[in-house]
Amino acid sequence: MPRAAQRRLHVLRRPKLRQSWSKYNLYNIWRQRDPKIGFTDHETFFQQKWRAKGLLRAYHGEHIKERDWERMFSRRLLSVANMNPRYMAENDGSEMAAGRGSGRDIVSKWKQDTVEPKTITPYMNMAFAPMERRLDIAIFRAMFASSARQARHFVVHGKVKVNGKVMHYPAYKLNPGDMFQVDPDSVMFATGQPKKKGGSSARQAITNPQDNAEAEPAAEEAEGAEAEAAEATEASEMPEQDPETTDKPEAPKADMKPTRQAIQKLTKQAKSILARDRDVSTSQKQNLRSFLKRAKPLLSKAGRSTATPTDILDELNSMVKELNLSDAPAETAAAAAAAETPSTPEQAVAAAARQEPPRSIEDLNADELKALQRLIKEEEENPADPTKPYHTPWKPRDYMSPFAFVPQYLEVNQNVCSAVYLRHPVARVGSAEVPTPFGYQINQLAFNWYLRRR
Amino acid sequence: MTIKIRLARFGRRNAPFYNIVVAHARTARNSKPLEVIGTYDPIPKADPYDDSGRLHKDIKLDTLRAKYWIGVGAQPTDTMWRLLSMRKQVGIMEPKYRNQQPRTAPQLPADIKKPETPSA
Amino acid sequence: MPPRIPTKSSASSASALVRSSFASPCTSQCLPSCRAGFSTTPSRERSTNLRRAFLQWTRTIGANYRQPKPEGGPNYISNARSSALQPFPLNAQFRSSRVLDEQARELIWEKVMRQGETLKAVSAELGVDLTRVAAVVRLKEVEKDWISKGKKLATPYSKAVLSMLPTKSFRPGVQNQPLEPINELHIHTATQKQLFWPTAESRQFTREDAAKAFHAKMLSADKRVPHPELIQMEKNLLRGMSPDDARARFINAAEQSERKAAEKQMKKAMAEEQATKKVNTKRFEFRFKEVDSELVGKDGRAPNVVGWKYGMPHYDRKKGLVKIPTSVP
Repeated sequence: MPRAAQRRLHVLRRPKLRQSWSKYNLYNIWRQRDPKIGFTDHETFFQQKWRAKGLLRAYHGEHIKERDWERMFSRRLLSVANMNPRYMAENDGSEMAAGRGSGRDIVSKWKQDTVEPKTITPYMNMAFAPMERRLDIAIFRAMFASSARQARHFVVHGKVKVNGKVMHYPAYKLNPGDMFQVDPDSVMFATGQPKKKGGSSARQAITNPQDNAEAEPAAEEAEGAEAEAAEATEASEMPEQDPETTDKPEAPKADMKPTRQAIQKLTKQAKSILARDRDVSTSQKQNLRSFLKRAKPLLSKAGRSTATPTDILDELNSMVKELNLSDAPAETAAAAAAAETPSTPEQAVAAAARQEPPRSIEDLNADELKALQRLIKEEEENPADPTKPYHTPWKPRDYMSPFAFVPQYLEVNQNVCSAVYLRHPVARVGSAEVPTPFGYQINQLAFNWYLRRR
Repeated sequence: MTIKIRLARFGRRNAPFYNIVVAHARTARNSKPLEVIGTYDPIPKADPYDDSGRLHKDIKLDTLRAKYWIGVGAQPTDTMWRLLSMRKQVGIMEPKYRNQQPRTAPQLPADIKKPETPSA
Repeated sequence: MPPRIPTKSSASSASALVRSSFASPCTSQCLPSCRAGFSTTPSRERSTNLRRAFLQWTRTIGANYRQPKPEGGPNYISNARSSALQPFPLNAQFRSSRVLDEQARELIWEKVMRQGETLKAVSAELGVDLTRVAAVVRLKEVEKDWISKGKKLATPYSKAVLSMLPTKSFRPGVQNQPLEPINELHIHTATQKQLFWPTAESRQFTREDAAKAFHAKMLSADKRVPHPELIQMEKNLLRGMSPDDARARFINAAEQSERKAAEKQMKKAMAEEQATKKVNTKRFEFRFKEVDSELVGKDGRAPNVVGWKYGMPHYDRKKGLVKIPTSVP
């Protein structure tokens, strides 16, 4: 749908709320005041309904054609009543029918000063409940994608399975009990921090979203494909590149050689320790291996045109810092490397400060050992992997937490990026399960809009 | 006129689906038959949650009616003959064509001796 | 031909031109580069009041929402009237519900798969919806399967998301606060109408009678709730049965009802199996299903007649009809 894609998703002027985790959307939700439709009499009922429906449709499936939604709409609103087993055991229901004739007398509340308002069941908030059945929107609700459009993209590109089979229809309506799985890499791409700028040429083309409000939403739809492109370029860059053959030889070329030599030296040292020493403990060996594993991408990064020696040194230092709990030779080596490589004076000072008297694994106390183990485990779970289309080690994207909720009709297992659609969303006393940004009155007007000619 | 048990093609392009019908031999394929006694879905399908790669085809058949029509002289077409003669389970017809397996000599009864070669 | 209106970029470059002509004397130098539509120099950002307000917000209030709270828990935008668990400040009727954390999921899986407790018993004990218990076990099985196959889990993602959500954990062997109401009754459409149903005042008009009044075939609420055994247990307690006895009876009843459901399913599958004859060939399995071709209705057009129908149009390609799969088995 070319026309819908061209329209901007997030704008600051006359904003519309969207199903998206964009910071612009967050800002718009934050500053949205109650539209107060129907509070004054200068709007006709039709105008009120029109405006309310416009507000809500911008949020609920704006990528879905109006005609399709009209077909999907149902005037049947689902709800549940909580039945207390204790109460049901005590009463058989006749107490509700009991009138004064059967001896029941209700004391009137007329003389009370205030009457507590009754809590309503917000049926009207369920106006867009049929939308929540759609696969793409359910994926967004399960927090597997950062917007409903991105969820749709995942489905179309075959990243989603329903009950173990690839389902490429975003409009598939989930049935109660359906399990949907999204490819974990896609989920981590959608919800993780983007890769640092300059990682690949495809990324560089986009201007910084911090400065450019318009670029981001436009790029959103293309982001997945772009990421794949980025992945491809990353993969092709994996073999170590000669700095001479890269596009921009001027800046990095001069300083990279010593850094690379230092890394190579470190890895060689670590390898020799692994091969030679019999008395190295298992955890130490593990540690060393993980260090070796991480040194490899760093080495290739050093060979890349865009890398700066300070970045790499920082990373190396942090790696060695993690290592130094147990491993004295590596630490001294790192310090030596830091001294060798050309770096800023601050870093040299920092490296010198870290240079403690060497310790062996026996000197570590229980807490330190535990910390070491935790560190190793974290490293295994969340490794730095340049082949991934997202920033590694993985971190949640900015402005994600205000959008973090999982509606009750879904049960999600984040570890396997799967969720089960338990049942259709329902209303109960005081709350409705459909996540909608506006309150009862706006939803009621929208519901009435769609009720016509039905 | 001969009465045939045959298939009538329905479904869509590249998605065939057949009615098993009893019809006069010279009527058009999809004209209204004397009776519809079943369906045949020739597109192989896999069972859900089955990764073995084994596929199946679904056939619905009113066996009683099929037997009746054959009893009164209806002639199945070759394809229908093949379906109706599938092993013992369906076994409405004897197989029209012989088994493709290589033939083996029938076992001789025990009391009949093999003709001995004149050796003496 | 439509009227030529200056585009936004050209307008902004024109203003840039004016500005540059004021700022620097080298007008002749920048003139060609500014006029060119294909200039490689990035154009200046338009900075409106709205943008400035937005950027100001990202630096002040918005900065709170950039990262999840270091201590964990929800971090929703709030105003004066909204509660802490309200993701949308204008919708007080939608609140973020708590989700089961890793330990709670593991506990449920342990109870169902290792200790062999029934879903109903686990649901009633922990206060987790029956369908949710089943879903947790199903998802946990997938997780265990992934681990056994050596597939990588999305652990960092899981940890981050669970730290942003309000979570619920259970302590094993202790009476826990329930996660959600478990005995919820679906409001049937037939019960939503108002009835005028005169009865004698002396009559005990129970839930059973009410169901009959709404629809002849409707079951009473006591039978439609997910946990009818729980009501029976409460009745037993009211009758003075000891809590342990009542509990044991409840567990027994839950087991029985689950067994009954399983048997029903089995029976259905068996009946299906008996109605089909399977013929294995080298390539395919042929499944012959017995049907009755004489059930055609009065006019021969009954909806479940065997085979593709004659003389009736098919609406399967009609506009507005669902053409994508409606279920995945």
